[in-house]
Amino acid sequence: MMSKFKRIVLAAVFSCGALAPVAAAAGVTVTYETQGRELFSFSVPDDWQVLTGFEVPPSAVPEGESPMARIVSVQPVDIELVMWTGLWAPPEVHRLEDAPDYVHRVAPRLLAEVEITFREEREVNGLPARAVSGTGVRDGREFDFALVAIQITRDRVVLAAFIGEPEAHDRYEGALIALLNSITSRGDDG
Amino acid sequence: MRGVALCAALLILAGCDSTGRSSSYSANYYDHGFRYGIYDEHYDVDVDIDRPDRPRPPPGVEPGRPRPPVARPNRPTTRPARSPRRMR
Repeated sequence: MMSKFKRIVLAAVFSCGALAPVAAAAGVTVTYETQGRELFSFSVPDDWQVLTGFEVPPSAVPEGESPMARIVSVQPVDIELVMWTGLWAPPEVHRLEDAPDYVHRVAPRLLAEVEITFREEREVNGLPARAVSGTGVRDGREFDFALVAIQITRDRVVLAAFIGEPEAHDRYEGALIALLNSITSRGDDG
Repeated sequence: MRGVALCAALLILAGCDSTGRSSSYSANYYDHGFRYGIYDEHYDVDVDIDRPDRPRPPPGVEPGRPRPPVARPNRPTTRPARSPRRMR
């Protein structure tokens, strides 16, 4: 059982990190690194911004537990619609085969009434990947979602997720596809 | 470690983020919420959604977060059917 103090530490670290300085970007390439390991890079669409997330120090979690990986999110600078695009590499997901179980656990914490309407196996830059999309509800509003799991190195999987209003998906679909197709492995075995 | 953490907690309670800006604006509402959902799953901790540093929701949106579903009988959805979205 996590101590109350560690819960406070984690909550504090989360809050600072989630609201960390926002880096404006214009067609730049971002390298995703977590716990000292570079895993992949991706290109940020023009006039989008990056929220770099944060790292939880291993000392802040109980012995034997892994700190959660960095979560990077990107979004248009001038956005009027509700949308969220995040990329992260959960430490417990080593193979694509592990991804469905992880997604089933995390999805109910993101959206209610999740309905998957499409799924396929595909490749992203030659890397094996699995994609699902569908709809869900948050705060009483219906959102579309799309989630792609990519085997980015031999032992890590990156998840790229979009959650947003249907209008946001339609408006930014081109940029989202370009972002997805820009993901390349930086792992030493990728 | 404790000192740093407590300073961070005090800053948060004062309504500031790590840049010194006010952290209570709706633009971060969903980013905050989705990140917390992912971290909650990893650590199996539900952070109190009423914490004062939580970004305010956009106007007209009732704040809340989905919780892991409790086993319940299936019920028909009230949402209108839409054609499946195919990813390109």
